[in-house]
Amino acid sequence: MKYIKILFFSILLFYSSYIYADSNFVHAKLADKLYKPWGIAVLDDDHLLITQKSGELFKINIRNKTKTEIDHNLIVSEYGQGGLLDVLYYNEKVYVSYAEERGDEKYSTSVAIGEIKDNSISFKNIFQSEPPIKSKIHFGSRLEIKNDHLFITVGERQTGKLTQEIDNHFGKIIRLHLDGSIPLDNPYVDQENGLNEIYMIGLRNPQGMAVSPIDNELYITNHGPKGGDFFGKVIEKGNYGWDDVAWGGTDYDGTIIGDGSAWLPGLVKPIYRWIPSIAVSDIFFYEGDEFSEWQGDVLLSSLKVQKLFKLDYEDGKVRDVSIIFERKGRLRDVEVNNLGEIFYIVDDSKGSLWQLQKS
Amino acid sequence: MFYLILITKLLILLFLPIYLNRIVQNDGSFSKSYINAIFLLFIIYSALLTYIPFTIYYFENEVNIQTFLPFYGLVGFIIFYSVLPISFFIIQIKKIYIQSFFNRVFKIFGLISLIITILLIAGIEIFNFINLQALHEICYSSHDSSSEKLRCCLDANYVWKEGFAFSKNTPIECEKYMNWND
Repeated sequence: MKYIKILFFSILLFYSSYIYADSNFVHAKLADKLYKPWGIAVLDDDHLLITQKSGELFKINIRNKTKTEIDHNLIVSEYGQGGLLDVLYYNEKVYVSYAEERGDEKYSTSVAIGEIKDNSISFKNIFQSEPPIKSKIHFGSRLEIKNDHLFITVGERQTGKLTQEIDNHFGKIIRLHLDGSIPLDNPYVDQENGLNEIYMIGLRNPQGMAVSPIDNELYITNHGPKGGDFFGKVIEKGNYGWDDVAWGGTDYDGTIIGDGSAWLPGLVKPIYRWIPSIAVSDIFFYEGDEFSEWQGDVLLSSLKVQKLFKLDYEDGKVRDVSIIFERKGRLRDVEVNNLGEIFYIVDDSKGSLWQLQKS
Repeated sequence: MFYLILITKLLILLFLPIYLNRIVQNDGSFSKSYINAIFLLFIIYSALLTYIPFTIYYFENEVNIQTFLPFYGLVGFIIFYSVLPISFFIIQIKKIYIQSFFNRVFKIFGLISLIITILLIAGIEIFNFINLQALHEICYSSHDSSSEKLRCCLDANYVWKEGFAFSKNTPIECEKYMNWND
């Protein structure tokens, strides 16, 4: 009886452990009971910032696993796919993207900037997508910095054809200076009716963005409709073609989008596509010592298929796609710190933050 | 052929419960086993046409349907198309007494629900068929370089001008055509 009890409690302890090991990796849980976590930012070698869709911002100490809420002045609540979304830390400034209510229940993808002082941030808006509309989906909202420019992805918010017009921000990549001012060399600055922040058009719901350390180019992931998720490059004044093309996908009711072409001449071609969709979320180009064999490879997280992929990307082509791990939950974001440590979040009402380690 | 099959399917759905109701009313003319067999046939047949495909669609479709139809909505749908008709016919078959007014109301409600269901199924199946025809046209115009490729395309779940794909389990002979990323 005594040995049965020992066996029982050993099994219980194993399954309640904060460490999960598969054959190649150890998944160390750093935080749990997170409500729909959306974005991770690396603060320093010991701390991460995490957003929750419901509006909370947390600082996580990854060494002692403590969680501190950062007070802020943004009025944000969950609104369909919107809420407090991505977070970025650069030059002691915190950038966040969020679904901002602009009156009359109309929302936009907005970006705000602030500094952490005594676990508190007073944010100031530096970007609001135009026009605000009543749509609960496709906010885009990923943030990235390249060459001291802030890039923002904005989803099409179910506006379809408007993503092809330059008098709105739907389905666009935005480029700004770090203070939110508009670069004078943005591609549509001299164009009549063009919004000056626009850098690229024709996207549906881009939720991943990262700079490659190899070629210093900016890359994105984009949700297709029913099929057609892709990984591609950001091209100045480029057009991915939504919704004249759907990259191999159809509408959810089975109807063809456009004339059924995945691509048309004059449009930017995705580098890699998934049909059926995998609900691709974020990407990160790995640099570090812990997984040195992955140097320069793309880590790509997915929601629907719950996998972390590794893309062997070289000379404009994806040479190989492999699965690092799967079945850990809907993976919303993946980040790597300066030590090469990999972190990912599981998007759920009882979400969690994990570190991937070698076993 | 599609429309012929669809009309036949829906007529069976319409007349099976009406026939069942009639034979239940004819005391002694039909054996109990025969009545039970028709009853079983009806509940299985109506399940295959209504909540079974819908439940599969609910969990397997790419769109996040769960965000606008919560799980209790799905359960309500299943109850409507399983528990209610089963309860009604058990009452009829077991001759459980219900006031004739309520009996009449149930029958009218059941008939109206049946007609609405038939119209919905017809609408959905015709819509899906039209969409499928459009995809098959792409197969015939863009993927007919060999009979094998055409066959693969016609069986595929995703079709576009430059390629096609399967939801699950690509047939081995079709794998060589899954090269749209090359």
